[in-house]
Amino acid sequence: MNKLKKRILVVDDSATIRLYLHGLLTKWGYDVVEATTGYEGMEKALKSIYDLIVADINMPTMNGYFMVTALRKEPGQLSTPIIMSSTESKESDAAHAYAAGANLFLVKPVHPTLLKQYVDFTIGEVA
Amino acid sequence: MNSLLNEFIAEARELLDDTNVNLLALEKDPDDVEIINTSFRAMHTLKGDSGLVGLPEITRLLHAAEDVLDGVRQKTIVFRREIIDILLQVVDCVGGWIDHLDESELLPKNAAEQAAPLITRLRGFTTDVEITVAVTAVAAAAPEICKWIDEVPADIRSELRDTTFKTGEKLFAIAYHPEEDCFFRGEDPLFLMQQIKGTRWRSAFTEANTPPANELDPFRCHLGFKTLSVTTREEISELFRYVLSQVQIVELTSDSLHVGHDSQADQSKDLLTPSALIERGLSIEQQTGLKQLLRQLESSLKTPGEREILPARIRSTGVILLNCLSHLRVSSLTSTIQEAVDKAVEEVDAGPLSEQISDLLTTLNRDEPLRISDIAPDMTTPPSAQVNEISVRQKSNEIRVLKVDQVRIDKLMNLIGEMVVAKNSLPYLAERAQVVFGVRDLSREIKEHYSVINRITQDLQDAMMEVRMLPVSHVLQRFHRLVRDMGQKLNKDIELILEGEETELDKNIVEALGDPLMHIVRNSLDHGVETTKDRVAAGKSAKGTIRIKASQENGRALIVVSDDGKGIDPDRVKRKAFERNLLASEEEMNALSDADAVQLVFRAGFSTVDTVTDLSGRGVGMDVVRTAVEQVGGTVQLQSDKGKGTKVMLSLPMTMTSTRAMIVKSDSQEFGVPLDIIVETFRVPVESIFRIKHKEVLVRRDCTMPVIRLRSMLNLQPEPEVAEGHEYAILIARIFNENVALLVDDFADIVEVIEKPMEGVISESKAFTSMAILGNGTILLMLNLEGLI
Repeated sequence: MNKLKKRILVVDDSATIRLYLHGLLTKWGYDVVEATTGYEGMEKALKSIYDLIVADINMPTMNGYFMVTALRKEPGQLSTPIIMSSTESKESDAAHAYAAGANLFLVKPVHPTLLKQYVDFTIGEVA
Repeated sequence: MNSLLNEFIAEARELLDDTNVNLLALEKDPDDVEIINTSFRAMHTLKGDSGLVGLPEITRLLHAAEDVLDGVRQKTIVFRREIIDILLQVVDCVGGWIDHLDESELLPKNAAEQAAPLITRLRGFTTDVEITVAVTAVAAAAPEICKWIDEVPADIRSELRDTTFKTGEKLFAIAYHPEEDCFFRGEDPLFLMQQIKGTRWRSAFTEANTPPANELDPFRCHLGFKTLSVTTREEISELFRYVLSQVQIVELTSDSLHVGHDSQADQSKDLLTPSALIERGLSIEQQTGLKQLLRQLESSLKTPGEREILPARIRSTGVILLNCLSHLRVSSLTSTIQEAVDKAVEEVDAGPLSEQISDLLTTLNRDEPLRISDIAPDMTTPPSAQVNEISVRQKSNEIRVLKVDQVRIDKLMNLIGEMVVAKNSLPYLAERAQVVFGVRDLSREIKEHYSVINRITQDLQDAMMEVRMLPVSHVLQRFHRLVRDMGQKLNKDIELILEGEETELDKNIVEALGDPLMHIVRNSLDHGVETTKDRVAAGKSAKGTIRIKASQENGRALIVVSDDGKGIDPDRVKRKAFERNLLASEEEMNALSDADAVQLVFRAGFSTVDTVTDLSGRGVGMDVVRTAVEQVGGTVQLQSDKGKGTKVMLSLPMTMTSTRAMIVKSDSQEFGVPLDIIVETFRVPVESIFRIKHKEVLVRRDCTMPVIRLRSMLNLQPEPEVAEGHEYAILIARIFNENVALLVDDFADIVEVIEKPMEGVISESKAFTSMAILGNGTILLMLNLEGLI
């Protein structure tokens, strides 16, 4: 099939996590763009169009919550699906993420099977 | 009463209790086959037993209930919440009868009338199914076919619509239901289907009457087929000429293939049922992922947040939902979702969209009669289910080895108590041998023997206590039901979380806990946790939580009941206490700290509720709680954060069998004080006791406390006048959360005693709670300090 690959923005300060996500998502046929801080993530998210943003919560300079809220507040009111993930598994973290504007919440480490399901369903790729 | 009936009553209670718990668990997780089986078995056993002891009313009612559970088990009845409701009613009803039976050996006279409406409703579920099956069978072919047309993937449908009708060919929908014994007549249904020319789409399904996989007869056909083919009616008739009565043929028009109509939205939801999804290649695992994702989307929408970003949140959720649908190739719901998104954005309220999501979730959880793809994984379940059953049985065998009448245990307990006392006389004997008779060696030998007997009795006592230990779950389990029923009644969405249910306590204490805990939980339900609306308004999660946590700490059991409700308003409590004359003056009221004010709820006759509700009674609850808990030697503490919740902590002794007591002397008599309430003992100079307004007080660690002279309390000889520099023996006891200094002549040993209730005339005395026999045969009176003050 010769159609345009779907693009995913991965925002995470951990190089390991980026490598992990990049590896998996590319393998599944997605285009991956990486950002290492909240600021960078925000810049990239606004500069181009993505089908999905996968964002970490704890990041230096600008945390995930802040970034997501800022994106949702932009004049364009970004309606890209956002999955937030964190090593914290407290329910309040999920609630915090939702309140900030994220749609989904995953606890790290994210199992590849679950991640694939989430990404596939969210992006609508026909498996 | 005959022993058979006795046995039946005991077993019935146990089975009903289990069923209660199981049904509630089932409500949470309707797919748990093991729970359905267990409940079914319990009903079945009880039904059989009731027949044995000749109670036809119970047999009839349980038979109806059993049929419903069997239906759920066989998946011929679609699981619904109301099934649980009615089954719980059955359990209650039978439970009531059992109580009646226990008292009078008879069922209530109106038992049959009580059961009738329940049986009718239960039968409603079972006949329901038969009727629907019958109706679909009789109903004309056309509607049935129209129903499954929507199962055909949308792209095939639209392609057919666009091509077939333009070229003038005819499209037929064919449904073939082969008879069960078709193989014996040499028919080959699949081969027949493959003979149809011009087939565009074909699918197989299992017939509604298919037995469960473990009973499946491979020589009988339970499969049916459906197909869409471009052909002619003659050709089909020719092909199926021997089995025409088993085939439904409908010529389709372009209208019936219309895609994406609103009226089709409901039907296309059928495409999202578990079995339909499996047919289209979505594994159970993927479905679980999908459900989890949808649930997250739902809760993310329900999470309150800034209004400004709400439209963006709604839109992005919409994007995900639409993508999900396209991933699932269900395009017909698109417009419905899009409309919901638009509506939600317009109203700046996520409501319409989250409704759609919960709708989708309901569909995804819907169960249908088995289809072929469900059967395949089912093949493996019968053996493993059996294995489970066996292991469960084994487990329960390990736990319930022996049932003993409580009376016998109590008797044994008393005997051990006597022995502890008898054993304690040996050291006295040894002393007498040495002092009075002057035989040292004998004295030493007695002491040696004593230590052996002492060790054995100690072990015996410990073993006995273990026998009497009961897990707290015994009283906690029933709260699931209470919370569920009352939550429904009060329109509150409340979750009960139990922790440390396995903590074990003495049977008497566990039993004594029931009522106080009931009061506390009811208070939380009624006054603590707010209604869903108020909770959301206060920015809390819609679902309230009540948590009961049991644990062991320093040889005591700790039970904490906490809720995340609105807490206690200290100002309101203060005002109320003042109105009820529990506070002497307004100054006293104003001087009270918030934490202290909250404690006022423990005072007798205190109530903050103006209207009496039938749930938590007259608000005298906390007073009753304190009394009941203190009776078994426990203490209650209460913490409350206004707006955040309330926490009630019960601290209880693990056992009530033996008490450690300190012996104090006054006027050369000995009295016992329970060690539990003693804070400290020390000696102070005479001059450190002051007088404030005729009352003697003592300052200790910056804390002023009243001094009580035991001699004057008990009307003994007053203390001889003492000179300055002399020291008083002071024992500080904690009573009603306050420290009291008890002035005694002297302290003596700490002993382990078995308390016995006071009998006869002295039981009227308020000064003593109980008595105990000391090793030397004398009687020790245990002081009732609460009563003395």
